[in-house]
Amino acid sequence: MGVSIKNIRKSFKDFNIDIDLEIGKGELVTLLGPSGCGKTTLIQLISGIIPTNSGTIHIGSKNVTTMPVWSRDIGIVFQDYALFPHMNVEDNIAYGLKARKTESSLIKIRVTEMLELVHLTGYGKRSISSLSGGEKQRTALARALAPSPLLLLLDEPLSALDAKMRTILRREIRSIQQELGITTIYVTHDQEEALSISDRIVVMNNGRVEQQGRPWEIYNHPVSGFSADFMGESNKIPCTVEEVSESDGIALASVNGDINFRLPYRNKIKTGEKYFVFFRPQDTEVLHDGINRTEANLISAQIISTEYFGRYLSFECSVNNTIIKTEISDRQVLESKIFSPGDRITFTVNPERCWLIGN
Amino acid sequence: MQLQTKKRGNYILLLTALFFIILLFYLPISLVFKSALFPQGKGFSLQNMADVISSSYNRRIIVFTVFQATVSTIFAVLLGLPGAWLLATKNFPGKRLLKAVSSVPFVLPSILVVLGFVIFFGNNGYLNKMLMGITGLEEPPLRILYSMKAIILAHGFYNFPIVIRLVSSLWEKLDPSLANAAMSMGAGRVRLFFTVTLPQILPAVLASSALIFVFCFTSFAIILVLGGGPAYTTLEVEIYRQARISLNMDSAAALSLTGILITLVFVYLNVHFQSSRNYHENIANRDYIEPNKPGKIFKLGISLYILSIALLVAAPVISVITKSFIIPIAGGAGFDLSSSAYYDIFRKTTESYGITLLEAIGNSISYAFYTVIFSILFGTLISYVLKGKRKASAILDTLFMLPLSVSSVILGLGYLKVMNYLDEPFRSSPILIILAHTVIAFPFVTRAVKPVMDKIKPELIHAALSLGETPLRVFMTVELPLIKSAIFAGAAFAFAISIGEMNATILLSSENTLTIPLMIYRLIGSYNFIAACALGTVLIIFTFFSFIIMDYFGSENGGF
Repeated sequence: MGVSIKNIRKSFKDFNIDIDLEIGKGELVTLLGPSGCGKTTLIQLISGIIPTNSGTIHIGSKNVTTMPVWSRDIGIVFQDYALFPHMNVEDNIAYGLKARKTESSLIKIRVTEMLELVHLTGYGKRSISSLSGGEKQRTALARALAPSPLLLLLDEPLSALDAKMRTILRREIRSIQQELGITTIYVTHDQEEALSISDRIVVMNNGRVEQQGRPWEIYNHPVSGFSADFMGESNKIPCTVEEVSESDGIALASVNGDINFRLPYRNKIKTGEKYFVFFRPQDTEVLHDGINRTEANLISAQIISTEYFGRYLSFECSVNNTIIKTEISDRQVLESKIFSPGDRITFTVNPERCWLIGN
Repeated sequence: MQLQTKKRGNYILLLTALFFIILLFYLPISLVFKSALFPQGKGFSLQNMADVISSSYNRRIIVFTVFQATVSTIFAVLLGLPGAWLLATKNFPGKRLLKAVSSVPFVLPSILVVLGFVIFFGNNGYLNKMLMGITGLEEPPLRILYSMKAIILAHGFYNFPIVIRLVSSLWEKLDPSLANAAMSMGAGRVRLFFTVTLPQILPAVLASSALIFVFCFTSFAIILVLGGGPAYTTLEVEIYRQARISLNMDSAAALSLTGILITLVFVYLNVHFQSSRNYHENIANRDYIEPNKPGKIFKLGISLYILSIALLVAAPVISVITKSFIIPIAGGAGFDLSSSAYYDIFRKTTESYGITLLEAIGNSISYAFYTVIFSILFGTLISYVLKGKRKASAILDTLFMLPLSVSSVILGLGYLKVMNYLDEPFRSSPILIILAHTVIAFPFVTRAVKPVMDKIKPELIHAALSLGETPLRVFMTVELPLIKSAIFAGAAFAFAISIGEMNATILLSSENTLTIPLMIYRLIGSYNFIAACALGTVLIIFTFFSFIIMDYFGSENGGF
């Protein structure tokens, strides 16, 4: 067992944490959510920096619920590194080993090992202030990992770094984590980071788990508007279910009578109920002029704005004030005529990629 | 649960700090209150207070105290404002010098100021000698000493740096776009100053005025010596006279209570102005230096100002050192350069004073040593206790920092009352002097340490805890190394305060516990200026080194 969090609760003045979470041994779980959703608080509860009101926390086979921080056997990497400014790189990494009364010859070996692991060989005697942001975070990672903790907690470890360094380091963190097979909880508000690094993503909202699952599950099948909004660009259009045919496995939903969506029938959809129809811009296919097609989910709309991102061109278009986002790949941009605001555009939405979600 | 342990630990530390502050400060002060309000150990009575206040002699003293403090404050503000303006808005050669020079009075013991003024401004002082030499006059032209003029001059000298510090630090942060806006609407320099700049710096001017008023109100050594007699007596001096010479403790206590009540108003005003909204708003995060080059007249003005400030600060100090080496030849006119005054320190047994000068130096060093140890422990403990506290901290802050606003003479009186409850050997031991010095010095350790300790991010502590160290070990391996410099700076400050302290000490000392400042006071009293200056030079050296240490370690956190 990695980590088992059973019904932990923590009340604050205007905010409550209420979490139930199991993490497998060697698994990297990302806590994803906007600031104020309670992800950092959860990290602090697990590490023992703040006490719980109720519930239990197990790390490995140990019940750590009432243990002090210093005997929980965890490693934490903080957003602002939290390196000891009065010690050099080596002494920072050795800190946890000294706390465990490790023999000095073994400390030396371990520190060398850790420096190699985080690609900082030769940096041992450097002062903290002489390091770049990326080097600081590598040192912080080495320091947290040096005593071989049972659990690694990373609290927005990359948010103080520039975009390029973020990508490099998140790959390194992932590869080190897999190499060591260490159970890891990773806090972030960056969906791309979460998608790329995690075995499993836990979307948090207002102190609770909103949804958890594999990255592609969360991305493709958000269970709620909150999850959908949080995972990149998407369409989330209010609609009413017009017709459900369980035998054909088809449901029909209407957006103000302007647009009709046909999509696979999935559980619990009822006629007359209000939902959101969810699909991603890349699940649409833009059709060129002159091609007259009568397939499902054919939408004709007026372009409001375009935005070019290099790999694709995205459109915001409207059907009687309902805004829909769609896009075409860069290759299509070259092949097709220039789209500009005011033009009409026709596209289809792949029914298999449409989901009805609650609010 | 682990946090409950930690909380319990913090609770114990808080209680320890409260225990000591009550024992060392509130208990002695409450004994003064008791003596004022329960005279002769009997029941509550306002008669004592009424007697003291209704006496026309005392009323004149109170009026004079307020009067001299007011005039001194105005003088100090006028002296300091140009410096504040220069430091805040101009770049000029000598800026560093002005900064350095203006920090000297902060650490100079008042008895040295007194001695320096006597030697430099006195009727036979260097200034008069120089003027007589130049003008050929037979009589000394400037009769400053032992008058109101000397008091005002010394207070101005002692306090103008406060104006420079407080006002320039606000002034340099003013948003220049406001001035630009006013000028774009046609405001000239004068109009600009009175309508835009002055209203913005006013809180700092008022805050420093209130602080200076308190310092001048409670000033002791300067009045005692430079005032030179009953005509120029203030509350503090009268408290001392009543307690140590007339031995009328109840009357001294009543005067103390009166003094405390008056100063509290101004302490409140100081805090009020410093925390006023104006003080924190309108502050742009940039240093603004006027780009225009100074003109000739302007340069001349600056030079004159810096020169006169330097003269005012340096002349008395240099006079003391010079005087100690110039020995008059016996029997006739003429002088000899000699260090014989210093040999006397080591050799001569000054029978009339009970102990030798060397023994007094020994006393001062040993009291300062213990004061430093106690102040570091207590000052750091309080920084730790006040750390990270939000809600209660306003009350706790006041509770622990109130010693700063009670005059050291009154504190000394409180300890004198404590002494009455003690038996030998404590009565004549220096322990009460050391504790009084600690109460006076520890707030400066706290002031040096607390900002640095507050800057330590909680994550740093959490990181250390998560790596497996216990809170005590985390304090030793992380927090302590980070506040080390601040502790050294605070220690140097505490040392300087203790070694120069005279006000509480004069109330508590006996013939065996005389210190350097008290010895200098006695030597001045018996017109032995050369020995006074030799001892004064020793004190200058100690103060100078404290200042160097303070500056070296304090630079990273802005000193005090």
